[in-house]
Amino acid sequence: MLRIEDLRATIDGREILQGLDLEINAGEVHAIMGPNGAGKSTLSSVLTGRDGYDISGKVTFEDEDLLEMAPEERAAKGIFLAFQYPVEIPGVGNMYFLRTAVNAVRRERGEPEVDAVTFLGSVKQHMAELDMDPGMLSRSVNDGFSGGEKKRNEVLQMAMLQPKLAILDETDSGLDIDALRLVAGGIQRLRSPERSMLIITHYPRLLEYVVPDYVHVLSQGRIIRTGDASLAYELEEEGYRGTEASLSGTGGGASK
Amino acid sequence: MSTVESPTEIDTLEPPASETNADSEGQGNEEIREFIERDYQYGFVSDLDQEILPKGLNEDVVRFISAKKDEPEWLLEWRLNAFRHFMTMTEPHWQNVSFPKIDYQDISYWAGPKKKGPAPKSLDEIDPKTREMFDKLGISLAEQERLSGVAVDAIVDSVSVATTFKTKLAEAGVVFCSFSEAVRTHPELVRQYLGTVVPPRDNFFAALNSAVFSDGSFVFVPEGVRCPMELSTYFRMNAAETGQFERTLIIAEKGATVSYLEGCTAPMRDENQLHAAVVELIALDDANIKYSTVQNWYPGDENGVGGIYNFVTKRGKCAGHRSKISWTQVETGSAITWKYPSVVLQGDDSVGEFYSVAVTTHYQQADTGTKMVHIGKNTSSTIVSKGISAGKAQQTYRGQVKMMRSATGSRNHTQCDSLLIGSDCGAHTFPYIEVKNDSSEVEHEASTSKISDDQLFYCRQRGMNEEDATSMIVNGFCRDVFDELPMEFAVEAQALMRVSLEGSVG
Amino acid sequence: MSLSPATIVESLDGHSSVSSRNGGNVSDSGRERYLEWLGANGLPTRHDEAWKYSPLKDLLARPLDRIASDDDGLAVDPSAIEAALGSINSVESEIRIVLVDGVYREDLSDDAEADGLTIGSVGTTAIDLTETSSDPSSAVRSRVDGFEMLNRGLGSAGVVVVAGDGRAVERPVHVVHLWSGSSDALLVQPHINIHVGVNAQLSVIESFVAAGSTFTNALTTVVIEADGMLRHYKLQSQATGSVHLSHVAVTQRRGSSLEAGAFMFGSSIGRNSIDVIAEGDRTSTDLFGLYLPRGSQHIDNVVTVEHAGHHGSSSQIYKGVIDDHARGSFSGHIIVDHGTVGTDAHQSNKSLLLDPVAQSDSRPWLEIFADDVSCTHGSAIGQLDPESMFYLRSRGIPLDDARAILVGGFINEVVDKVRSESIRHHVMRLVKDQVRSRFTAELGGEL
Repeated sequence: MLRIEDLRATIDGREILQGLDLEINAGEVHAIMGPNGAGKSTLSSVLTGRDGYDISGKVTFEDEDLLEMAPEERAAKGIFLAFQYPVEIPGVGNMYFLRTAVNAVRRERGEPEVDAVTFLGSVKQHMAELDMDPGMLSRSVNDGFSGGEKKRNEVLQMAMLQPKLAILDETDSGLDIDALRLVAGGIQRLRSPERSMLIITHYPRLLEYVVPDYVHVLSQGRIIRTGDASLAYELEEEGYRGTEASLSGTGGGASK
Repeated sequence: MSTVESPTEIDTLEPPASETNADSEGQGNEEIREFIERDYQYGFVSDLDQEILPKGLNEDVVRFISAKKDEPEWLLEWRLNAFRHFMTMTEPHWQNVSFPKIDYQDISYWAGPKKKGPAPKSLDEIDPKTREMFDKLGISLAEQERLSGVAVDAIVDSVSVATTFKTKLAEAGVVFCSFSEAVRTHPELVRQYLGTVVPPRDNFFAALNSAVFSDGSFVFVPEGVRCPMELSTYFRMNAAETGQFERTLIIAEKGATVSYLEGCTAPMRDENQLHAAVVELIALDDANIKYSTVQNWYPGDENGVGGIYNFVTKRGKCAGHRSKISWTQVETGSAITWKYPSVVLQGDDSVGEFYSVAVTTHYQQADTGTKMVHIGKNTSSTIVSKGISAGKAQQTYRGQVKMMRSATGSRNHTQCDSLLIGSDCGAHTFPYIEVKNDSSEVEHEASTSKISDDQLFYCRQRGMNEEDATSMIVNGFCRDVFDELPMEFAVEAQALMRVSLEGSVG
Repeated sequence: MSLSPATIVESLDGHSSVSSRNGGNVSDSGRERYLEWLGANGLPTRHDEAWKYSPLKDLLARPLDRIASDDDGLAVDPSAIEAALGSINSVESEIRIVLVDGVYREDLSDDAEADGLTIGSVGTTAIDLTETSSDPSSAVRSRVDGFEMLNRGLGSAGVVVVAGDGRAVERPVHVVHLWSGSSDALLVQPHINIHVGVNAQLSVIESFVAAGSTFTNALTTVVIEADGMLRHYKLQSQATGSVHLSHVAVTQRRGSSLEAGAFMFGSSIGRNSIDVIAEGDRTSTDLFGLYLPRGSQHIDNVVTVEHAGHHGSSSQIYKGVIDDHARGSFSGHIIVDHGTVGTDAHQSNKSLLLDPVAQSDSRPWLEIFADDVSCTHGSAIGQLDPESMFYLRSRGIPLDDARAILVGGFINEVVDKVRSESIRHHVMRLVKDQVRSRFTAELGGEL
């Protein structure tokens, strides 16, 4: 589904991604872990088309060149990013935003727009599952939302947009245990054989609920180690430094 | 001179029945989309049988206009005084706009439909071509049709051609008619209030208007009456090389309430046309006047050729205690706008409000804002101004908040934000805050920035293209003002914004 | 015809009548040019936005005995101004420069050669500004007015302060403006010309302490070369009855930074103005001020920053406390030029009115010709928070003390902006005296 080869990304003269390789097949859940500054968020930005990076390498999504596409085209192809810092848009109603997004994507895919009643029913169901107050629909997008509300709102959008590849950028950060459970439940419900996920995280706690098929360690812009879910706990015990040290001299570049 | 076929399905803008409150601002989005391909859609010219006075300005022109309207002697004198004073004045240039010198002798000061016999006695007698023109504009002059909750006074060039729902309003005691008619039917009211808020000598354009004003709307809401429906005036400039100088006077007696809407369009022409209106509002004790404008005069083409010079004086006086005057404006049209709807807060505990969205694109220039003059005790005012500048446009917010010594315990809050789209436009904020007592509080906040890259990226990541995303963010930016508009106008305003900003992105 | 700023300019027709000023100096081509400008454009009128809140009528018609000449300042015997000199508090380890009636008195000033500083009268051989990239004193900018030209055309020769390239001058320069008192209503027009070289650092304090009904029309011109840094503080505590106009014109080159504070305490009519053109990229400009008019004082502040380079950042923070029937105003102006990117500019003005007839005017302007900006301004005019007042009084603090404490808290933010500790102490001492004299209350704690 997603194939990344020798991806390099530079911003303000600094190379953040330094030859990253990764392949994600349909239905797989991958976690990327790594210390601050390893390039985790840069990876999510580059995959979704944020401006400002000089990029080389190759990224294909369902055999199409992803790097050539505008952000909205990537969204229409089914790539969704749950933002680490969801953006506030004052004055724009959450419901309106959601419906506009869903219909924009559907239109791009040649699907009919969803009618209001069906849409509302669907939103309310997902909100109930995430224990979100329906009143949040009439508030402005993320405006004045608490950290937990913002993250749940991201998962709600993901549920409504039904992406093929969901990239979750530190979706667990800043959540208390109850909120984490709700958010994780929302993510877990979306797991399916057709849908892949890339979970970017610093801590393994989200991975207790959403058990990944693969865990990768990102360090200095490349994947230096890959393992199964148990690697996450190993990292927690040893810390990233240990992992980096144990791998020094192996040449890195390990990927699945 | 180009003519654009006007869509007839403008009423697709009518808000659909809403399913949920939450979705309310989503309404009309599809309809808005239909507007994308269109330029200024009101640019057509109607072939009306009109009488146009030769160009030029002198006492005879003033007398002609007055005679044309069978005005009483006192009004002619009033006009002539204004005219004589006007001749001693010079065109003001302190505004942050530039335009070639206007030759006031090269304008015709009167254009109106030719009278065929007596004035139409009922709406059925209106000239079919005039009716057709308003149909094209989406303004129905038939009472039973869609804007059934709104009474309309339709003004073409210099003359009011129709006023709907007069009978129904009369039952409530509300007078809503053309200014000329009011001079005939309610001379004592006109004489009592005309020029009391905007004196003829107030400024250059007010003096000019006072001398040559042709028609306009008149509203009188008697004591204790809540006007049973929205009142609306629709201004249409049709004739070439004419100026439009309407005069509107709204009086709300003690405890009266009225909401008044104003819309305006003009044909697309290569020349610049002058529009110099005067609006006076008077609110007595406990009265409440809400005045909303969607200004969509022809803005000129993408090279800055043509368009209306919109030099307007609008002022309200909260004469009575606890009275309230609220201005809401959405300004998307005109080549140059020069306009400061203001409130004089004379009565104690009176309230003034100004909510404004101004959009300038291409070579448009706007210098707009408000004045809040606090005289009475415990008066309060709110200013919310949202400016969007794109292309090569220059936009200025100019506002004055004045707390007089007598205005103890008064408050003002001003929020004034500008959004820039493109590197060749400008946005300027020129507030004047003057406080002469120590128990009043004034707070002013302002910001200027471009649309946030983060917001744009967030919307695009969710699948919206850049233009849709921009439109959504801009509409959100203006939300506080749109919320103040009556429903009929709010939807139209959002659609207008969309069309105005078309092509400014990317 | 009695002498006043207005009549001086009226008589400029061919400027013969004033050409006797300073011997032959008027024939100096620079002065010719300024006087020509002045003859053509005159002094400001009420239509000049920058003078909107100033009592122009009074200023223009202000009776003057005469224009100070360089001889006035030079002739004064040191003993005659001993008292005045003694009354000036020193800033710790300062390099003192004394001007009498606007004229540099080398004999009363410190030598600063060892500090990497060159100080001297304009025209002395020691100072050759032609070697530096520009001579700021001769640059006529787009925003000038008649009073600046009056200074340039008929003012004193001026003193030049140059921090050479790469020199970080540690000791602060303290410019003390003194008056001879040789004539009561004297028009005194000092010109300080500061040049901060490439990567050089300099701090300058200007203290104005005129007595009598002097009319001060001061000019400070500044160029900060690439990566240079200047801290400039204006401390104005002239006598009641005097007029104080002072204008600071700054040009900032690439990567330079400016911190400029103005503390306006004295004079009957006072006007502090600063106009910064951030010409180079990545400049930083930090402007702040405090004005505390009382009685019938009228104090105006006119602050302009023009961003002509990319990635400039600037802030303006001005606060006023206005008592009795005094008037205070702030006119801030941010201009962002077309074609620039990355400007970050902010402006804030807050004032407190302490008397029912006190008056405050605020005019925070933004003029933006580029889209890649983040600009804000805020303005608030009000009174001491009654809730806080009540709180303090309920704790047993008397009314006047409570007011002093709250005013002190309000003011602190501005004083804290003075980054140099020794200068901050100096400023704080002055501010304390001011607040104390207003409320007759002893201030403890921070202020």
